[in-house]
Amino acid sequence: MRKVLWVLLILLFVLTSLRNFAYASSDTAYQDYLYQFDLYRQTYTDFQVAKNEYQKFKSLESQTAALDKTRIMLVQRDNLLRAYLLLLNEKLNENRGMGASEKQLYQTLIRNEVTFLQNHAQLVPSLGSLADASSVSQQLESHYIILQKSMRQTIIGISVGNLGDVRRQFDQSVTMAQALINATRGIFTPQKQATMDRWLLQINNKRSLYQQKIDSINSTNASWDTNNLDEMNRKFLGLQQSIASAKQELQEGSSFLGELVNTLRYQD
Amino acid sequence: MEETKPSSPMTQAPQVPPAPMKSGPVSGQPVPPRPSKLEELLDLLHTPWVIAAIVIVIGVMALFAIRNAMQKPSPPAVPTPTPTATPTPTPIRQRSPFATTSAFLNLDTAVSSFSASVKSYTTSDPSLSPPVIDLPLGF
Repeated sequence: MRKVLWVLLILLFVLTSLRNFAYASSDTAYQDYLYQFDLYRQTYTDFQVAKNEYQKFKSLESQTAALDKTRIMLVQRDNLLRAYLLLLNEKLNENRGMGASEKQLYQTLIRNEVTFLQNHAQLVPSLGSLADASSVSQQLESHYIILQKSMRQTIIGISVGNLGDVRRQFDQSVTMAQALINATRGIFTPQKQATMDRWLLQINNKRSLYQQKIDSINSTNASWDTNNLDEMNRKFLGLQQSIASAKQELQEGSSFLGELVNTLRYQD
Repeated sequence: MEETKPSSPMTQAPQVPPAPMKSGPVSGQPVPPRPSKLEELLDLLHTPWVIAAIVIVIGVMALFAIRNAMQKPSPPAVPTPTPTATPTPTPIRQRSPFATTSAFLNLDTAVSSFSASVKSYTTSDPSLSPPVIDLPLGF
């Protein structure tokens, strides 16, 4: 009996730990991202000091020091971007409202970018001069817009997925309310029954409006045809506003559902 | 200048020394009638100072009368309503027969949970803002 209790206790502990681990994986990724950001700031400051000294003295010693600091900074820059992409990947893994195909699409985008950064970081140790360093840095600069697009697409995808989870709860509530109203036909007065049917119709209209907005967001998010960072930021903000508008439809639907439940609660 | 003639002693009566003068009318003379009090009062009314005083008093009274006539009548006092001790009765609503069924309770819980989820949803996650980095090396 005692042994069984011990086994149950250990099993409970293991299950709890696994559950915490599953929930904490994006938190761990976020902490790692913050740590990499701190390291990047530090290495970038060292790089700037070394660069200024080289530009001031133009000596071989200052040139070598500047090349060393540039190498370290370039590697850390890749590490920072990769840590951020891994954070996005963890957020995708935890997203419960996103479909499997959509999730796979965004994860492919992230994987491609991570591969690019890994390859880019491998070029850095072989740098022999500051000119080589500038050339390798330019490879990232020319790829940066694509990287930023992938990041923003994924962020919008995660937001829509999270809202999709809320929408799933909305659908469940509406289905339950519909079933209850159908089951109670004949109990309420015909006028009250007609009112409840009309309210349910209005709630379904909110769901349709939500879906229209989400379809439009998905369509816009699928094609980012700009190569300008400012324009990209504007589009990103516009999409976030559209998501807020879609959320508003669900919020109004929630308020209508609350009224419907209160009507069902009372006889008159 | 005329000389006074000496009169004869026979015809001339002995001179009586004149009586001393007394104050007051001399008896035998006609006494004018004394004015009555009413007449004195009427005489007094004819003095300009009294007339001016009367005019001022009448003027002031007229002013007061006009002022009173111009004033609007004050509205009748409205009684201040006092709150009654008894509260407004809340209508008692009859619960529907299936308000305690599991189906209804499940719906109530689902709607509450959904409302909480939709309220707590945030459009942008601040932890997901992309990093801002300086790209050109500047050599």
